[in-house]
Amino acid sequence: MTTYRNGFTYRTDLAYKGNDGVFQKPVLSRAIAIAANDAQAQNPAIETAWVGIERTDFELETGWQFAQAQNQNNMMPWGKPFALSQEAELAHSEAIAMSFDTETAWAKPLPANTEAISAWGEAIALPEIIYSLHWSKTYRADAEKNTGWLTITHRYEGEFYRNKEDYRSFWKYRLINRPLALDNSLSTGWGGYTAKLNDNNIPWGDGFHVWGTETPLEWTSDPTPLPDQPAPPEPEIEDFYNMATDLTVIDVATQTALAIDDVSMSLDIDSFAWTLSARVLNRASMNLAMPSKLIKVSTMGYDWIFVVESYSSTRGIGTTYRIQASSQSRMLDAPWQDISSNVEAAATTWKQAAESLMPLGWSVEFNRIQDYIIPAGAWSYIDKTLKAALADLLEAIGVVAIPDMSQQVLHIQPRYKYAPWEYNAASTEPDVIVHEAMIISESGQYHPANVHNGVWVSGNSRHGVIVEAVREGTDGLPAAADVYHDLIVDVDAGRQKAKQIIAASGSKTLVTLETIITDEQASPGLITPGMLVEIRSDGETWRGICLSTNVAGAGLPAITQTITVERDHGDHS
Amino acid sequence: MATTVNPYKRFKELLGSSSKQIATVLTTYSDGTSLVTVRGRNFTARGTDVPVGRKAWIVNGDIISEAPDLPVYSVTV
Repeated sequence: MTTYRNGFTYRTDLAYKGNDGVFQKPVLSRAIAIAANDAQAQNPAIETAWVGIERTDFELETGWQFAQAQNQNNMMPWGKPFALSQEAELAHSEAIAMSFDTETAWAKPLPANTEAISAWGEAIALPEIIYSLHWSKTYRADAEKNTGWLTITHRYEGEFYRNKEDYRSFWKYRLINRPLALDNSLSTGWGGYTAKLNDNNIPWGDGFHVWGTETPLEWTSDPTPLPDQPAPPEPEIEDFYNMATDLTVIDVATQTALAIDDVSMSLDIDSFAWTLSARVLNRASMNLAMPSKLIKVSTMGYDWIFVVESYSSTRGIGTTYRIQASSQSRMLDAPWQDISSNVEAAATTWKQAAESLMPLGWSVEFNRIQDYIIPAGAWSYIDKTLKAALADLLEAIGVVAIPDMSQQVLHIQPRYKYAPWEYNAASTEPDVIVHEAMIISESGQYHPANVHNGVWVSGNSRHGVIVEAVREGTDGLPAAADVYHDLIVDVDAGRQKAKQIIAASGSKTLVTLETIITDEQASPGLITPGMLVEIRSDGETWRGICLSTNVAGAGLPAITQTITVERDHGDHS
Repeated sequence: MATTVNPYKRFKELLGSSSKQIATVLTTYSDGTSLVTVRGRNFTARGTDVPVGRKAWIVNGDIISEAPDLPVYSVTV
């Protein structure tokens, strides 16, 4: 039973039959049945020993006298049975009202805001705190308070209060699920976290489907493709460039500055080492730059390390010497390396195969290479040095290894980093920009050739595949000559190789440019083979792959770089 | 052949390269030659070592040995 206002428990079965305000006192007594169990001996362990009894009269069969207990102490005195449980004992008397307050606990409900004492016949005034109603305002029966969610209808009139119903049903609120405020004709069934009924049943005006086909928000998107790499610095166009180039050559072992000038350092994209030719000005420097010595050449913030291979001198007044040197990548080939043979017995990948060839201290860096799996037994070489074995790997998918200038690192990238038809794609950023104003001299040589739109690339062994590659948007004709390589063992291998073959086809012009060399903060910086170069002039802008670089400084340290850029004639487009 | 400024590669281009192909043998003749085909182009090669219907390595016009029959894929670049 619920606790009613004053905190006393209202007793259930006592119905107040209000009748014209006459309070009927409830029946105070009621019969309560108590079940008392049978009494049991208090001490069941005691037994009574009965002695034999005498027969009084032999003639009478039933003439037994009362027996007497032999031992008076053992007799069981049976007394009044006790109730088993003391708690069950009840005083069966008239019930007494538990609290006087309950007699008058029912008063006319009052508005919550109004504290009033009801003069109610013989009812006793309740303390104020008991009178305050905690369940909010009451409303007239004919007034529906529209809260937007439900309507509480509360009867208030006195005649309804004094009805014949049980008070509980009187206080039972009618919770009516009313139509919502905005639209009386609609109701929404909610289940889970989504509206069960979509569309029109949401009454609060226009909205949008969170889950659905309609796009609720107008997204403005930028469809511009992201470039593959950051843009190079923009060239500063000047009438003249006042360059202060520097040239420092030191002996790596002793860090001694050497009197060397007139350097010429070259690399082309198909070579494996930078080469150096330089003039040594005196005997002391020559002694430190003898063959097998490492020397470091620095200019404009770029460093090269060479191993000296040969020298020559011309005796006379002011004897001068010349040395020839190569970068350390030369050491990956004979005579520094012995030949060997190997078959890779376990499955590997192309990149892992390339890395596995590197001796201690050397590493490779990959740029735009798509790796693929070489099955067990597919990669084999016979009597090759590390460099020759690596070159075979490179040849398989048409990539080149650009030796690092000073580190023991090979930068492996596709020969055509971008195919000619990708040169001007929105996602392509050149590595370097050369403006016409920076070009000291320029020449070109035309190399006519057929353009090929497709090629068949095939493996040689049981591991191989045949890949028919077609330039997108063409019928693949004319096709280049078939290409076979042991390491075409995957579609990705064939695709990369085929892209290089198709990119290399078509007419080209080798444009040789002599331009300034700047530090890497400014344009053009140092242009190395493999870079995508953008040449700007007033008339046109074109892009091409740098095929070779020659950094040279004459007697006075005025260092320039001469690059060869392959200009595609646009046959592919 | 890609354009290059590498002297060694240019020299190799001058020398030319050997031709190498995998072809399917169509017919073997009694004069020691075979009719072979590569994707619809027929030509005659020397040698009859590879039976009809099989793939053959053809290097500079000679049938060298039997060649593997490899799966073919088509890609666009």
